[in-house]
Amino acid sequence: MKEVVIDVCTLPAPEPMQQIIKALAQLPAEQYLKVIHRRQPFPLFEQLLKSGWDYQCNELSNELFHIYIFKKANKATFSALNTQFSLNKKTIS
Amino acid sequence: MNLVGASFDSLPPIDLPFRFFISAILFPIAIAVFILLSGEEPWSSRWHPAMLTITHGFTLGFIGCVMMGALLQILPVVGGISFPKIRFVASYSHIFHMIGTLSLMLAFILPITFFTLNAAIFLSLGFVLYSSTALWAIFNTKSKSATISGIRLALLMLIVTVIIGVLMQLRTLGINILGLEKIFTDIHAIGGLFGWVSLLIIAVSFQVIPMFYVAPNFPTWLSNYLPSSIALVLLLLMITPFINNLTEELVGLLLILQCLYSVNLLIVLHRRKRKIPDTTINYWRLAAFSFILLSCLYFFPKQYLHHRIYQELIAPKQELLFAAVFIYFYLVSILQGMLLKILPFLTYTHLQQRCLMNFSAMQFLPNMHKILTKKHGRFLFVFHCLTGISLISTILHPKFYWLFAGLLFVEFSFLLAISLKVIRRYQTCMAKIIKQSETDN
Repeated sequence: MKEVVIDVCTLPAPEPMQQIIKALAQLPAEQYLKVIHRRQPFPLFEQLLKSGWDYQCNELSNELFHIYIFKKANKATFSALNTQFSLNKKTIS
Repeated sequence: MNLVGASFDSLPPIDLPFRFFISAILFPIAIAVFILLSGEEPWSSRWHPAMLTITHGFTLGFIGCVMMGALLQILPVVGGISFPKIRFVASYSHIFHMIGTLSLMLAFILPITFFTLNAAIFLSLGFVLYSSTALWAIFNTKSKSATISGIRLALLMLIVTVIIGVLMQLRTLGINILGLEKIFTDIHAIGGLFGWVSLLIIAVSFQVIPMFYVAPNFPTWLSNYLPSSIALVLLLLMITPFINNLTEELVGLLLILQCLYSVNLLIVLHRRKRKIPDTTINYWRLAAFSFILLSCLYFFPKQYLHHRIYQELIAPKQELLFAAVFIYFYLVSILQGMLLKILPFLTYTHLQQRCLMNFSAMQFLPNMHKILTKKHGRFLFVFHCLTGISLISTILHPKFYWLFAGLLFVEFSFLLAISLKVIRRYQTCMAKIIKQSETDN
């Protein structure tokens, strides 16, 4: 699975969501999106699940989150890569 | 925190916060008409029945409604939590709040038992339903953010304020649980304005200022300790009049804590990364500077104020002036600025979320900055400042009441017009998005 990365840390609300939707619209099958964000976009999470997507959110600090978004159908493939992300993240709970 | 596919309750349907916002805007318009009809007399004292109608129209009507509507939407955004049974809670607490507030406003000027009883019943029903549901949602979240802790404290303060307010209303019906001391009126006012409204604004701003303006976070020591310090001082203010008279010292401490917030707010806004001109920032700045100025006046040694103008003009109206500056220049400024920011934000966010289910509908998304134009925002801000100046003038010289009433009417009618335009825009775009989705399916 290839990774597409977008950094929305310096964008005011609601531009991060706008960029994420644009990136998802162009995301080829078998790829996943990595979003670098300064907060957890809770409303996005809910809509992703409703729209056939899944996600993983890793908190690296109070102001830095890595969000991985992938098609639900690709969950197994993504889970195999998951160990790799876990090495770089600070897991609080 | 590692969130893997966790499920969150949905954002509330957009009509729920919007009904609170539109109702809120209608109150100052009604107050403007009432001021115009009441003449100069209400401006003689803060205890004048008509003045109590005016202040409660602002605090419960405008400020209360905006806060209640905003919190419905803010909880899911900042904490990933939502009110349970949100349509039921929002609809009924809105209706109860409307009936209760209007009854209370009428009860001050028409001392009829029916209005007093109505106000006590419906206001307590509305606030109890709303605050208990919000507290239930907050106590059930795992989030330990400063914003969530601050909102929790603000809701607890709201409950205390409502209990005292209802007991005060019952006093007029002959049910005298509180006694006749006027101190309860002050505790009620301070608890409501500093505990519920200002504390909630502070807690929410810890998240929304960095989110909307790409500003740095507030210092951790401030966000962690300021809300609990304010709550503690308020609690002492409520207890000490019955033990030891430290009221003046505690009010001073409360003002210092609020000033600390105002100074940090100005610093955080100054350090924002994208320095794009934005009228809503001017509202925050106006509020912060007004509060700092208000505190300076409060702390200014009274022995140096011998001038005739101060003694004859300002001193007799000092309490009313301080309350007016705090309510109008601090609270109303922030809430009006917040409305200008969240009306287009909510509209855009709700439309945008539909596009996640159907990317081809993105073509119908409006430009967010055109949902509510900057020109309209600037115009409203100028009017807000002019109305505020006319309010001060009216307190000092009541003969200007017509000017304040006129400006207030124009300011909020304009806000109503642009809010309705935003709703119309939402409906038009949503209809196109739904049509596109049906075509694609």
